[in-house]
Amino acid sequence: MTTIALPTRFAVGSNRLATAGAVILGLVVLFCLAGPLAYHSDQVHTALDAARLSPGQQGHPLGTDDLGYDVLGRLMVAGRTSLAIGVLAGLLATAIGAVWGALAGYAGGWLDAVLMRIVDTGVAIPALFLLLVAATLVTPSIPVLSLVIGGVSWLVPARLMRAEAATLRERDFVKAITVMGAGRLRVVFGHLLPNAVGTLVVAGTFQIADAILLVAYVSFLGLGVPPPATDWGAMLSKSITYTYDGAWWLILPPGIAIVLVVCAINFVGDGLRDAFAARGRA
Amino acid sequence: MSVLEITDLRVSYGTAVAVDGLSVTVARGEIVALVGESGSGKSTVALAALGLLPRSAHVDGTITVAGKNVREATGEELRQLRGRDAGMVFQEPMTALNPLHTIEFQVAEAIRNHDPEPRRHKHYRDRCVQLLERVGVPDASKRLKQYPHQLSGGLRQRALIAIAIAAGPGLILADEPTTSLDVTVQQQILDLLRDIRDTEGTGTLLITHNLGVVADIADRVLVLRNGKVVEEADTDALFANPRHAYTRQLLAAVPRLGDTPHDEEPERDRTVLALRDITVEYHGRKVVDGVSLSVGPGEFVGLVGESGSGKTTLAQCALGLVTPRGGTVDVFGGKLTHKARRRLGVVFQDPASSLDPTKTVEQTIAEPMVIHTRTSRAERRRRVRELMDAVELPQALLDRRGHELSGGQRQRVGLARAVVLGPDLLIADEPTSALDVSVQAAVLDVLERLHQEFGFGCLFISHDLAVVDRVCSRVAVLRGGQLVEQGPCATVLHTPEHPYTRALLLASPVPDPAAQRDRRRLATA
Repeated sequence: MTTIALPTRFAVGSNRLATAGAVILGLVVLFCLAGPLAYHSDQVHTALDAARLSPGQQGHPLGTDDLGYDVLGRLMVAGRTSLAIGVLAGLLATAIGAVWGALAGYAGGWLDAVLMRIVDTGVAIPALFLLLVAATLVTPSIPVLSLVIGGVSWLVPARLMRAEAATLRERDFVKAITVMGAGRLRVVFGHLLPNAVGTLVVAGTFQIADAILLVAYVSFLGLGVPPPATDWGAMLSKSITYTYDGAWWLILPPGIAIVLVVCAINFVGDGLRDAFAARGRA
Repeated sequence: MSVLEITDLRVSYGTAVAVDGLSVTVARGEIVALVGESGSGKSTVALAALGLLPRSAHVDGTITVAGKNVREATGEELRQLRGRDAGMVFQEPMTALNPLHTIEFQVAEAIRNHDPEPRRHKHYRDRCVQLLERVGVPDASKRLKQYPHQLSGGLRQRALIAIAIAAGPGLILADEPTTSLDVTVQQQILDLLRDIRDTEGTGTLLITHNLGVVADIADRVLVLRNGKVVEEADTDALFANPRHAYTRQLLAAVPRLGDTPHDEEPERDRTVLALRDITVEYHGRKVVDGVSLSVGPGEFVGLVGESGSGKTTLAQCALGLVTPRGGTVDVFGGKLTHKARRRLGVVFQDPASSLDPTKTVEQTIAEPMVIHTRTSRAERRRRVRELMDAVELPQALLDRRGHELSGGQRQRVGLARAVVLGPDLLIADEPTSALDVSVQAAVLDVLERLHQEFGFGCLFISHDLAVVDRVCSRVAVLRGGQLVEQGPCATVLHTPEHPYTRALLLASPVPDPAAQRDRRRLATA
């Protein structure tokens, strides 16, 4: 089995931004997963008599929204959805893209041409448009949204992997093992993909950040997971009506959460990329 | 008067010592060779002489070029010194020349840099032509407008030498100036360097790993090992009577023509590889033109030729990596099917790229077994361990990955992978060309032992005639895609019929100054 030996430079944490990103990410995940255990709030039943309370009133540290849900508690529950969809969709996109790109890059010739023209076509159609179409056809849920977002965002990793595979294919070790009888699948899964692991890990992190943003878009447009479940995008979408009433506590928390997580993931991705580049390929 | 004087030079990077107490002087009109294997610190000396070492290097000792202290020189003083007092010739002329500028621009720049009043590059055209003619570039005035990629490797190296001597320096630092060139071109470049020394009286510090080159051109030799000078002597004395054990070991490692006795080889009626009338074209240009060649069971056939002669392309046809335009490839009497590949092994030139960096040595060697057999894991382990012994690698390396091994170790792992299934045909494309001579000798020993054990037929590709003479029984000489001569080594390499084979033999330098002088006379006659 191939192990991803992280370069010590990264582990030691001399890359401050990446370390900060990792710490922030860890805290947010902890907040969303373990938060509800320490901080109890009803996120199922509406409480219209306690709607739109400002922060601090009646024991709600971040106030309540228009249906009386506690905003702090809601932030945790919504974060679970956003993070789950982001991670699942990001991994799915990277996996599809990796295999697709590796096949195209290794095969070359007409198969490469066909596979990559499909990717070009996909890139030409805005992902958001595809998402909206998909969201109207199926009932959104975490698995469905992950599948749909993963299904529209594997194009970039596919291109990356294709370029990587096309150069690896010319290396002598691939030639040697091909000459000695290795089949296409063995070369792709046994040699090309493990050697591209650095590229894929980095691409994967950025995919997760992108996916979290995409979920937010979709939910903001009202096509996210149905209530009482929610995510950060949906929280924003619902609160936008009350912006001019001065209900800042409805807008800022989910907004900051999205920005924070996406930035943190990008920092980690940058750090990983630098670390893999510094180690080089021996 | 000496043009270069280095006293007690020490260069270290952190705790790693690159050069350890080296002293060398080069007088006017003298060619001093610095010989050593990779990692001996020889290139570091050349860089230090011109103050070109990176900031991370810690330097001690004194370096004097034309009476000026290099280590205390300011930026402008160094600029003046580089080119005017010492010119540098690099190993790889393609990367040493700027691909975006014409030859004229680059030669003129070298003159202009040291003109008291620099003028436009065009102004120096006549001087450029003179310089290019001086270094033996034919049609010099036409070449001025050409770019580096339009010149052959030999012409590029001549242009680089023209740049090095443009400002009339008293010293030339030549770092492996002929290593990337074919032997016949190498001979011409060495003749040119000798001629510049004879007419201009320039001193030369020649850095090389090739003892044949040293024997050909150097007056004095310093043998370097791990940054230390182990022996310093006049060339004739060194080759006649090497005093240090390491020098003797280096000299013994250089393969020489005629050292290996060749038995009469029986005619073989069966073949493991038969190439008939192979023609390969790239973009309408024939790289291989009607070549027929066969390898019998257990036979070691050498394929020699200079770069561009089509020898690698021919090997790739045999391996099924290139489909020939014409002719037939016959492996084990049939097509190269999946089943036939089980009996086929391959070794490539570049040890760095021939092992998958994500796999351990054990996984690499075992892979052909995983592909072709249903052996149990325990059985594979046993077989891999046997092979580690066969290629003389310690078992401790089994869990290492490619980048944790030296070049020689990697090539042994490549060999072990190639023979793990006991092949009937091995195709080896320049398997030792990237290795130091002593490592090459050891790897060739291993190859011969494996050949005795497994009895495979082998197509052995090399540009080094002496290596081929050592391991092969039959040899084919390729030139410009065509076969010029083919036959037993004893005949072709010792009494060649074709003028090209003769020229090739004369151009390959031997580590013996007296023999080199004779050959030079023969070649010019």
